[in-house]
Amino acid sequence: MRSFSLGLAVSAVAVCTTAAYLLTTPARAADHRDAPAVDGAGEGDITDVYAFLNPKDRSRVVLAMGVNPFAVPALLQSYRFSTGFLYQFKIDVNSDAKEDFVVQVTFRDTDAGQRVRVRVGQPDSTSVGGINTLLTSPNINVTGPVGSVIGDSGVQVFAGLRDDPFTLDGQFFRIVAGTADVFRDIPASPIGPLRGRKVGANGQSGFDLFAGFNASYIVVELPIDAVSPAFFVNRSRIYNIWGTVSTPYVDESYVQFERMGQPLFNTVFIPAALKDAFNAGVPADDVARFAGFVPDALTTSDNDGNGNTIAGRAALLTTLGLTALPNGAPLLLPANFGNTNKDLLRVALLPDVLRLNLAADPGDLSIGQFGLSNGRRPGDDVVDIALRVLRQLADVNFPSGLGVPGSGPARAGALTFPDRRIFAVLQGTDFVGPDGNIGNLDNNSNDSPFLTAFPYFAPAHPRPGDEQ
Amino acid sequence: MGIDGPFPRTVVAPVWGRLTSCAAVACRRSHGILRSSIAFFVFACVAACPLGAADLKFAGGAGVSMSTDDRIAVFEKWAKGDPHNAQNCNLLAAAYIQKTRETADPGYLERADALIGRVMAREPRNYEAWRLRNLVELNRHHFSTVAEYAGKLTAWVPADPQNWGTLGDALMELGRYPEAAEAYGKMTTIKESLFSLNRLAYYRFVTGNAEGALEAMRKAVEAGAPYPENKAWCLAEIGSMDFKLGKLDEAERAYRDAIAAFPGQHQAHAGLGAVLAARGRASEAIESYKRAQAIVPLPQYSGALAGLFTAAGRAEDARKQNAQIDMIARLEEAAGQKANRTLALVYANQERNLDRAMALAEADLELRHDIYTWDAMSWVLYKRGRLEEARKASHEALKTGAREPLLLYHAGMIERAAGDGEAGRKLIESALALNPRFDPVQAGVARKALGER
Repeated sequence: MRSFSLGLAVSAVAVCTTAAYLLTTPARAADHRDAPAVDGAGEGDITDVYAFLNPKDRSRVVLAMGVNPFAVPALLQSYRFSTGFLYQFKIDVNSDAKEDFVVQVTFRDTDAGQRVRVRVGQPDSTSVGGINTLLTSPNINVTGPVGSVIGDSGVQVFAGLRDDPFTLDGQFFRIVAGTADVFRDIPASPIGPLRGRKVGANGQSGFDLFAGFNASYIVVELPIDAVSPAFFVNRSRIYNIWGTVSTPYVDESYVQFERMGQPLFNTVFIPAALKDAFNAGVPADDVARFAGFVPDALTTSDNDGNGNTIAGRAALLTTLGLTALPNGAPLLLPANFGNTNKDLLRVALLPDVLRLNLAADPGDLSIGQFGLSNGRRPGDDVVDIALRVLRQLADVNFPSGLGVPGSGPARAGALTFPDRRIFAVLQGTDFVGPDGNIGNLDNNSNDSPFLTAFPYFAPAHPRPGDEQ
Repeated sequence: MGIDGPFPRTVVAPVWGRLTSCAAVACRRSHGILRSSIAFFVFACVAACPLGAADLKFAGGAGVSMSTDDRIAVFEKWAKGDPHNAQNCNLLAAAYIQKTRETADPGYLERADALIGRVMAREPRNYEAWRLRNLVELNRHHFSTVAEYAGKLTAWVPADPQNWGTLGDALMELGRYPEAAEAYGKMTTIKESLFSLNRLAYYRFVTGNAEGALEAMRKAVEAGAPYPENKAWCLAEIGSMDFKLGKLDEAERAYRDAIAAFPGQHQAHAGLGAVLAARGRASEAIESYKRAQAIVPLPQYSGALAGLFTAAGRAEDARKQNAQIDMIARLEEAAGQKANRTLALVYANQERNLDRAMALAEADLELRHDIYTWDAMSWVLYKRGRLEEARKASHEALKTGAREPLLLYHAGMIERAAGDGEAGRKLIESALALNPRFDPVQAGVARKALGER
């Protein structure tokens, strides 16, 4: 008999009172509608975060963040920024995953439309983390109307609707759900038919789920020494950058409920039940909290007695016909890639921040140098980069008896077949765009061409019937 | 500065270092996609965070569900890794409170309280800890305290719907229905969710709007919730309301849906038992009540089983159930628990231990003044023969017009005994009109009182 004191039993009324930050609903990529706390609050739901150097002037950094996912062109006038939320870009310059300076963006309504205010500066030491206050003495302070490029002191700002620059074949969600196996159909393979999308009359199979949709974007370009030239002396040349959205909290503060660094990380690796906790968390806690949700990386050493090495995986993918068109992208890493660190994927993915090398050429993607890539530019094919890295490096425990690399004894750090994410990465691409473009990882085949100058993101899709 | 200040600094200072073991990779693109060496920067403390054996089983991202125990395991690991991190402690405390809901085991509530205390000792103005503290107090039935705290918290953060919810919960228990309606209204205005809609439904049912209550509760189910138990609880409430309205098919369906959503939903197992008993399927009803009892041994489940066993001629089984009720009562007494209207009702129905029943009901009435506590009080007073007091208490129980057959039946029996046979008859008829088999034992007593067979 359990020793209950039943007088303490939950009353019929004292119910459903658990804090609502642990909600669970299906997630969608990149980070569009990624967790219950932000579902239904589109103006606080980050779609993507970007950080890159001005391609013509490496002394200037561009930061961008989208909200209002799947904004429909027919309802252009209905999408606004929240006047209550605090939108922030957070920049860590000394690699402790805590913000050293911030770009704070707020909005207010006027009779003439919304106005944006951008503050840039160093946060008070007591205002670092998940609870923040507005900068009281910002180094930069820019205000102006939404929908126009505004600027002051070398700072440029745009806030308003743009084309959603993210691309992904929605087939991803069918694969994860188990109603499809791969992106592109493979009628016959050594492991039998793999259900996927047929190649259409145009020779393509990929379908961009985000084509035709807009998102509300905040784009800020500023000199990298904008806060204070001395501030960066002897600092790392690697910026860790992430975006957050916070809501008014107690005593004039704001509490964070949404964040994003790298594309797809939250979607792919964070369990649905923990997404709200993830979004309210800070990068400095990511390794301790979430390392366990990222699989081991393969190494040069066989870890299961079946040749489960990087070379073994490469050979397996090749044998299955998945490393050449039309059934898959070429290998990204050579078969003799010499990694010896099983934590390599964790190193690349955690903490969840974009890592931008100020010393690198603005056009240098530098896959694998700092994270999955060097910062993030609007057109980078981040989906294919992730798929190609993961299919070659993520440790997978296949069923014993298959006799293929990975089919040895159960390993705690491996993805366990049939985890549907294993299927999602098999082909190393989602095939969005023409096949001839697969491999151009700096071209994601977005439905609208990007601009070569500020604000870089393509104009919003117009209302049906209106001219672009 | 905010009430809880920044989150404490992490105890591990990450150090970036260059991983030099990566092999050479051919440079294949002019923009440098692949360099001659791929050099990842090592987040050094990764090595200090070994995988838990269970971690990756949840790593499916979208669509992977986690039970409350799974979440507790994750948050315990986080809190152990960084015990000074207030967010870690608050997440774990919230999961413990949820586990209390699912098991009625006060041990989880104590653990939650200890965690919250730890956070508040370091950060006295940690808002999240305060709102969790109020949930603990709510589960402890300290309703006046909850109302006081919730009033302060709603002033602190008016936009937080949860505090309006706990304020409304406390006011409902205190019988301050108009104020509760206002609090729930504010909560629903801020955000329509399972959490606000199920409260709106409860208010509507208590105040006589049964159809509106069902509508709101169905919307609550559609809204969904993070824990399967939350949705199951709402489904069980739909079952309960339908049962009280005599809609046995709908009630059975709702109870079965609740059990499918969360097999540990003991109220649904018990409710299904009541439906099956009403249908005359006593043996199945007994099994369903026993499943509820196996999850949480509440005295009302023992009481129902004792009644069913007695009706089936299984006197020894009935005696064991009554013995269990008495053991629960002794455990409560030893724990210093003085108030329990449910146990009081069980004893009153069984017409034994009436002194204890009176004490339990009176103590509960000190804590709250809602219609259900007044009803329990009236029934115990009736069984003790204190009819005028019973009548007054019964009038309090009926004042909101709730379509509760049990309350109407109690009121009718009291009026009848107090000398107003006509009023009593009408009340008993109205109870039976709602559900002719509202209780496996008491419905028969009601019919008998009306001279029916």
